Amino acid sequence: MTVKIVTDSTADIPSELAQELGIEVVPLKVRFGTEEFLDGMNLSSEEFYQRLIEGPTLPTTSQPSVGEFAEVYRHLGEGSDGIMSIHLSSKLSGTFNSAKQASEEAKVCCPIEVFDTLQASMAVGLIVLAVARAANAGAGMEELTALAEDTSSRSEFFVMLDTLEYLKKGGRVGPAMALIGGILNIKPMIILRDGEVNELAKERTRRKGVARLIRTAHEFGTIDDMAILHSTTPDEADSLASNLSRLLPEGRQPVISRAGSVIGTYSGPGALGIALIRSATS
Amino acid sequence: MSQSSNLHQPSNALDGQDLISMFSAATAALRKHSEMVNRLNVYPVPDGDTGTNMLLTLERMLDTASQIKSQSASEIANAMWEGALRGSGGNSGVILAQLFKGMSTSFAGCDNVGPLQVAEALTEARDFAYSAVGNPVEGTMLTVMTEAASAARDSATNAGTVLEVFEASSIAASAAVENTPNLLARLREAGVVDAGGLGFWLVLEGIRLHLSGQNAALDAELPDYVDVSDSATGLAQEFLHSTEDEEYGNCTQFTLESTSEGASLSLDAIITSMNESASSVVVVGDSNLVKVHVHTETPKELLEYARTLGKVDQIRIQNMDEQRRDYAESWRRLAANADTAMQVPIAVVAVAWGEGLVRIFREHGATVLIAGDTMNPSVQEIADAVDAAPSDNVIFLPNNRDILPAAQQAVSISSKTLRVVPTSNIPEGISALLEFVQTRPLDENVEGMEETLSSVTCAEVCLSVRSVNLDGVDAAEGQVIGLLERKMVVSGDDATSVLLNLLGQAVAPDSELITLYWGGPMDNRQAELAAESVSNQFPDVDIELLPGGQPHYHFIISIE
Repeated sequence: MTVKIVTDSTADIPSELAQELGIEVVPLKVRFGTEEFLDGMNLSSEEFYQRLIEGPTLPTTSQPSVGEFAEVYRHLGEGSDGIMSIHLSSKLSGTFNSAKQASEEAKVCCPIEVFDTLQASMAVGLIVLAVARAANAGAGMEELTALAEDTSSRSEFFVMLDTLEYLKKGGRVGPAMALIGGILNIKPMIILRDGEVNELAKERTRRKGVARLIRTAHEFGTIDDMAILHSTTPDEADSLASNLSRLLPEGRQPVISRAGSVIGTYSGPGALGIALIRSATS
Repeated sequence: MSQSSNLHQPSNALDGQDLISMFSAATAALRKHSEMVNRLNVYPVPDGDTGTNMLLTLERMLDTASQIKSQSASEIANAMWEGALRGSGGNSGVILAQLFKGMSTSFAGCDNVGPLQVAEALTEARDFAYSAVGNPVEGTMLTVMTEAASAARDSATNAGTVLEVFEASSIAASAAVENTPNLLARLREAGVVDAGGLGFWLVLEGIRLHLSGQNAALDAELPDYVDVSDSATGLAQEFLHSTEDEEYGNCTQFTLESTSEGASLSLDAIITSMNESASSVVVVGDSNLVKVHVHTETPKELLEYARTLGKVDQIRIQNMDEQRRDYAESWRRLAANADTAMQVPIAVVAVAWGEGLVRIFREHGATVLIAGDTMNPSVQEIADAVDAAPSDNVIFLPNNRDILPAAQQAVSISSKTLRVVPTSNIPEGISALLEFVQTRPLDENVEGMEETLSSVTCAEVCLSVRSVNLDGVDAAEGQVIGLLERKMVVSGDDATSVLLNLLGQAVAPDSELITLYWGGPMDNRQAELAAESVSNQFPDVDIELLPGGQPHYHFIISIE
């Protein structure tokens, strides 16, 4: 009898890793016109980004329904000690609210803790991975909730975008963020703070942007875990990972992850980012 | 000397109103030759503005002092310093303003002052000037101030009168100006004397002329060693015999060539006809070719008329009202901002010029202080812009090496927390502005912005305004020149080939992006063709072509 771990597809956890740790991933939906797809299930990344770049219309996204979450909870609830359901920032998506409501209505006999990480993408992913490992090692609900809270408070997520257009059109530019735009070509750099998208910097070239990502990672001191996120540039992600692996404890490598179709809808192509969990001492 | 003070004071004592008369004469002398001083810039770039900066400083100084109804030398000197400081723009203006700081210090508490105090004021001024500039260089206005002060002290301690003190200091200053090329290799190479030094001499000379009963506005003549031979400078000097009047309109210049049928031009007739519809008329030349300079409200009509006289060429129309309107407009905008705009934690105020460049700064959140062509903002204008910005914490980007000193002085008179990030050109300014993040603490922002300055290289393409051999490069007047970090590295007849050669020297193996801000005489099509050539020559570098709208410069280029 263990605690089951649920998250959503915006955590961008590589599917092998999710399977290996027994993490249940509930997909959000992405829609091109009238065609609807389940994030990470029935639309390949290649096809998604090709449509995103070349397609006539931008995709829209929607959260899983209360019913969909409830079904997952009922299914997992049988014979488990509890369910930890960990999600992206409630300030960016209604996913958390959907899950929260489902937890109240699902009538499952085991306890369900729905947790708002105030994070996105692999920053949620790293929190989920930490909690799943602890759950698999036998930790109980209380301990796992405390762990989720603790890792969330030490999580950071910052990204270099190729353009702010996708984030803007998707309405996810935070109120504290100056409206960047105009005739000068720049690479906006964003950081999640208090669950919202904030401005980290603006760079004029990708190389300066990558240098800024590396510099920013170093500013967070010692690091427990790290993930590199990219939307369309796997080589850049690989070289960033090997550059930063020395920040991690001996023998650990950053997880490399590709932004799924929901995160990709807002990041657009050419996004490159870092999610990390600071060490408790730093 | 005013009669009232004569009764009770030594015969050569000066009161406050005497100081105003003296410095009115000094201003008139500088005004007469300010265009010549502008043209003595080491680099023959078309935005030389030393004379203008010094003149604006003096004009503001006089304005402020004239409003004080006082006979006291001390009170008037204080007002002069106040006005000069606020009115000073550019390096040269800030240094000149120290003259009045010296007077204000040395005349403190005195209703009347004599030769010894005058000499002391010049000495104090010299010391203030050295400390006002971060890195004093000999062979500049500073050296001229040193020599003038030294001669003034010698004269005063040998019982010289006020007139004798100014005679001695004017002679010493003139000799010092003549010697500046021997002290500074750049001047020697460029074949000019120091512009600021010459301006300072004109101030002393104007006072000397006034004290000896002459009319500085008419009688101030440049020393023989100032080369006025080349056509541009010669003509410019001629122009300035008629600048007493203050009307603005359009400064219109053109050449007029007689048509081939042997019809010769009559200078007198041209002058007479020009005077009917224009002011400040200057016509120089001969029966085959004349250069015309006028101020007129109706340049089109005037040119139409000129075409009936001969072949019109090299037309240059500069709207002086517009420059002032631009200024006025930016103040109104700033003032409106202060009332209605949402207050922000930190505001950035940037100096910019050219429609496209101004737009870029605005789009990235800066309040823009528009600088005109050869019109650097004064200390007061900078302080006003800062005070009008929508925050108590302001970061200022001068975007021009010559505006930096005035910006630093503005820190002391602004009521706000003002930090200056010393951007010395537009590319540095844009880099620094992009680094700014509203939510970051002020110190962190300033530090980060300063760090970006070294990450961008600035190059420029413009026309040479005189013939020159500098940094080992020859350029004839009217040729295109390329500057790399303000150093002349190439000249030629075609803007695109100069641009390519310049970039050949500026682009490093790790350069990623060349941004070309086009302006000056270029049009969109020419700029696109030039950018295409650049793109062919540097296939591995990204090229971005943007309309800068800056005057004079074909291209302002950032390489990063």
